[in-house]
Amino acid sequence: MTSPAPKHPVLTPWRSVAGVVLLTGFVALAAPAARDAVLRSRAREAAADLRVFAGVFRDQALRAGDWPAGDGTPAANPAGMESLLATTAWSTPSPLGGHYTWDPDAVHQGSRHRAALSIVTTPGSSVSNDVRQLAALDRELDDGDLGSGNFLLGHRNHPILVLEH
Amino acid sequence: MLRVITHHLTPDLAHARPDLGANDRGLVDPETLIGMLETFRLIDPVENQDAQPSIEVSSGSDRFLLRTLRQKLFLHDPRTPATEGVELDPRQLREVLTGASPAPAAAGLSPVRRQVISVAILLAGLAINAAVVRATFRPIPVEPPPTAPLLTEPREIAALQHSAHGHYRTGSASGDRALRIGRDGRIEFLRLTASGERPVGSETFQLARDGREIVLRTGTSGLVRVRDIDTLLYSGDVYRRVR
Repeated sequence: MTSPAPKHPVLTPWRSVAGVVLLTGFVALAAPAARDAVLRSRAREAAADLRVFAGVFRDQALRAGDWPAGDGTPAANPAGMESLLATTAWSTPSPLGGHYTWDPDAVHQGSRHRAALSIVTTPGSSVSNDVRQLAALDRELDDGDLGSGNFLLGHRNHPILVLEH
Repeated sequence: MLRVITHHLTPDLAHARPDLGANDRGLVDPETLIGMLETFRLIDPVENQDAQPSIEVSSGSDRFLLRTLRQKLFLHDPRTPATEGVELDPRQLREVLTGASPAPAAAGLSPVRRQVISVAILLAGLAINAAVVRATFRPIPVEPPPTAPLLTEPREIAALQHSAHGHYRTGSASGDRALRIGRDGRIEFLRLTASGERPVGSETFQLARDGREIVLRTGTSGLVRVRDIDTLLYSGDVYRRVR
């Protein structure tokens, strides 16, 4: 039998253990769900950007009869497309880090693609190399497989969206 | 004989009040004290809770503090009155008061120590969960970090750096890739354009051996494999020496 203590403390070792067990259970369930939600949110945002850019570049290609020239410089506006891209997120860092770039005729992992958009690392902004993040973007845009389809891993594992192979 | 001091108790020990201070009862023989404790034991529980009465008993160098709860007597160490006491049955009480046996050690932990342990458990739990959250959000790289062991022989390193030094390309058309490897342990990544080569990035590298193959281990850009003196393999592309 316990002795007459002046007060019952709020915190006791057993209550602490119970609290830690509950917290750990909550974290075990909530942390992966939160992580997946963050990855999905970023993927959706980047996918929306890339769809807009793809539409703008395709429209330009139809108007001009060919894809615009480009050299893969991050956030650079191809000639004649400044006003078309001004209202988009073209020059801002991507939700995955890095910047968007127009990268036609470039060699990527053994293949050369006639027209492609890429997200590349820039000074102070590295594009995500998290396979889960990139796979989430692939699921939003393409077939969910980073090795097939139109959304692929390109040079230095930077993600590319191929508009014409 | 035992020296007895009561705290917050009426002289007959039948009632407890917070306004009653200490009352030195002087020297009392053990049997009389046992009788007094019988009365003390039966004190009203509400009065007991409000006034927290106690009886201090000393005999030579021994000192005890007695309290009651639910008609039971508890022995406390007066140096740490807030610690948990030891319940005594009448036989034990008689033995302790008459000196026939020593006072049993108080079991359990003091409230302060309990609080410290409780807080320590909580902090440890928070630290563990913080580590779990951090690990959950840690990215899984597309390409696992290179594990090829680094070369350590300075002459071998110097010789290989000298032979790897140079300029390599996947081709000569716009869109092709280039690598420029310096003797200073730096590698530059380039893209061919209509107007020349545009830098894409650069990193330091260290020479390593992956099986039989010599590789250049970069910090974040993966491995550059040296196929032969004029050929490199990087990121799925073959680069041939141009200079």
